[in-house]
Amino acid sequence: MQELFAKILNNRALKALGPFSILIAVFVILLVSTPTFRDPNNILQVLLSASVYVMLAMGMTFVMVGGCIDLSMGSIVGLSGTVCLLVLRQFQAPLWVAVVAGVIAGMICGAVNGFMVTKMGLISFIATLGSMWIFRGALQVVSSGQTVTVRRAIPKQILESLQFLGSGRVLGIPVPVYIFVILAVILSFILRRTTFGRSLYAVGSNPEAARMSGISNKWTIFKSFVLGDALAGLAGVLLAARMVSVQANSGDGYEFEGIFASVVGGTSMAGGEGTILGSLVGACVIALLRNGLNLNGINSFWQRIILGVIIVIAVYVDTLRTRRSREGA
Amino acid sequence: MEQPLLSMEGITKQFPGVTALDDLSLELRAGEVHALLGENGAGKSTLIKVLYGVYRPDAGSIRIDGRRVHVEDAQHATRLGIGVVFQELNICTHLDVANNIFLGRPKNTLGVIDERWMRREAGRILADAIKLDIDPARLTRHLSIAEQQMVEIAKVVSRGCRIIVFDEPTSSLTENEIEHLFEIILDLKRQGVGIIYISHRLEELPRIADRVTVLRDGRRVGTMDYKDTSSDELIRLMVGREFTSKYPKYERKIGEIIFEVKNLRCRNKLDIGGLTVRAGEIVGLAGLVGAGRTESMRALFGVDPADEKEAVLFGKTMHFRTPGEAIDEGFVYMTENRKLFGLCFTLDVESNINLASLRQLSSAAVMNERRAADNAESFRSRLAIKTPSIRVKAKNLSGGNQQKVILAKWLSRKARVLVFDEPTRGIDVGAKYEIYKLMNELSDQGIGIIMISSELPEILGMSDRVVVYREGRIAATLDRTEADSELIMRYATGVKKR
Repeated sequence: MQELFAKILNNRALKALGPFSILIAVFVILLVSTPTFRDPNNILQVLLSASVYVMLAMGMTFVMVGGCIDLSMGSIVGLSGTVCLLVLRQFQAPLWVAVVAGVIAGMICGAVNGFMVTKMGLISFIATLGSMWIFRGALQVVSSGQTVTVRRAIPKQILESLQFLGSGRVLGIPVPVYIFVILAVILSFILRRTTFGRSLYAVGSNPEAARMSGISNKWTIFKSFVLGDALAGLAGVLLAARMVSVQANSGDGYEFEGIFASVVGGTSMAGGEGTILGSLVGACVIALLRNGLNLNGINSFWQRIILGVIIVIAVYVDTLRTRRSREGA
Repeated sequence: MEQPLLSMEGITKQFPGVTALDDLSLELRAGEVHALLGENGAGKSTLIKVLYGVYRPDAGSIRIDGRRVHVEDAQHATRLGIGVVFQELNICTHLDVANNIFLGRPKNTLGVIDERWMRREAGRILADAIKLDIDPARLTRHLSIAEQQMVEIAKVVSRGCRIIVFDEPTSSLTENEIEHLFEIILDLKRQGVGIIYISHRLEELPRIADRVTVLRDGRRVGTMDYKDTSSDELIRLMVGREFTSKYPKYERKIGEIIFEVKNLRCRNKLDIGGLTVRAGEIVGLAGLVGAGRTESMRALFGVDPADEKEAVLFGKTMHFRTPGEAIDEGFVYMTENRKLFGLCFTLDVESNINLASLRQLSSAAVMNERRAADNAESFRSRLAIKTPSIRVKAKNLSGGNQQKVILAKWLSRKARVLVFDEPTRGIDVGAKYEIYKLMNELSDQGIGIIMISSELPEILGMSDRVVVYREGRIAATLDRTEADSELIMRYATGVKKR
């Protein structure tokens, strides 16, 4: 009986239920309180806007499991989107080339972050605080501070496929949703079932123990930044595809959405804990809350306050839960 | 009978899956040193945490001077006159000595801190209570572990605590420092302070203990006057069975030299040469704390840099640059500090066991989960690791079982030369015996073992040869037959004549 209890407490599925319960609670409250929320189109819209957060949250989860943090992700969202649209406009390139270019831009940013953290030995918080400005500045340099748009600048056919990528629907469901679901499965596999993922948990949990076990901490952390920021890059590409334009401040502050979603989803700020599924759910919670507040006509100033309070409460509840299970150790 | 200073009655504390304390009672008189003994996991730490307000007991009562108290938290405990010197020191290393002593209650006027007063007062406390000349303005991170511990004791004493708990206070102290600590304890005792003293080292007890309480599996198995008992009886009570010997008898089959350190230099701190290990041999490294035993092995393992490094393993010259290279060749170093370097506490037992074998348990970077679980399960049964499941987090295991998990991690990689650094530090008698048995089994398989230990009986009981370090150099290599504690200490301290 006691063994069974211990097993249940250590069950991964049950731990992931923590953020799920928040998701379900928010969903039910909105369903009951807000008639306009019930419209299927609205719910699809929520999923569409969640897709950008999901990408960021998944990328942030990799970085955070390794015990780091990446404050530059918001800037990378803007920069990658800009690169994607500029490649389309300047070179009249096919869509896939532009998408790959955007993602590679994210990877390069990740390599820069990884270099600063592993080779230069900077604390990730400080390093990415710096690169947040560097990447935002780079965006403004390449776009000359102007809004970059591809409307009327590229062939109609490419424009249509870009819009399809950003907000098109297959079987009534937005394309980005398919993308994030497929990616979540792949990324979950990478985090759970590969040597890289296992090493990342170990490095985040106890870097010294990982090093003494023959794991290359620096290389592992470097890879987590490249992968994490590639996802931020993809988030930027999807956002750009949906808007068909990128503003100079696009993605500003999105790193916090990523951090919030990860933390609500059970990722530890101290590293070594966190799941892709949890972060995906966390991102959906944020998108739901945003939508619910909009539908109820609450202005954006109040939205910030309410979101902030809700996030603090969510994290507090999670802290209580982990503290209790920790005491039970 | 006079009223006890502290009495804990019928204390019960349950955690999910385990009853940590079961109807346990303890009584402490003013001016006595009450030793608390028990294997790891017997409930000593939990009991102290209940006393200090970290945990709430599920049942039972605590009385101080006969008055029932409900300890809310550590601050409340301090107000009640309870102080604990934990094994893991609670020192803020970036603060100076005075600020550490007055931590949480700095002398201030309307929030403005009076540094001068605190330093003067800290100096007085250190001189009076600790009899130690430490500059109160020094940063604590520049102090030795022993000095940090003294600062911690000064902090507790200065709060006027009448009940002081020492949790394994001597585990990282040298003989002289232990002597000093005991003087402080005896001094406190004379002032009427009640002292609970937790230790694994039975040989310390004759010098200070008045009474002894032995715990086993969360229950009290006995309380007695120390003079009415013996070490043998205490060990029997702790483990619940007779012990014929602390060290398993074993005939070793020793083969050829498989590992030799030709040259290892690091500035003026290390200069090692001619350290050899034969197949199936256990070589004990003895020496004082700071003689460079751990440092030399860490440098060999590729964790710390060395100026010159040349070692021969199975006829091949090696210069391990990273731990990964050393592990690949079968040279493995098992750390002395489990918490800092050994385990990933937030990860489960399986992840920890397989941590060094990720490449071996995967193809194309994808883990074979089945094989990983099988490997962990096989070591769980082979080493008798006590855990409900391999999915339990490593932090939930007792010290001895954590040590076995670390051992399983290295055995998974087919180590050929194993370095055990203080393999039994902080683990209980029964688990120690099991670790020794495992070491013998390993040597039977032809594995060469280097064992660093600060406990001379352990060195003498387990080693085929004893290498004595002094000031970063090898002072002597002694055969099992010629080695005795006196000779080892002579070489370790540099006192030549007999």
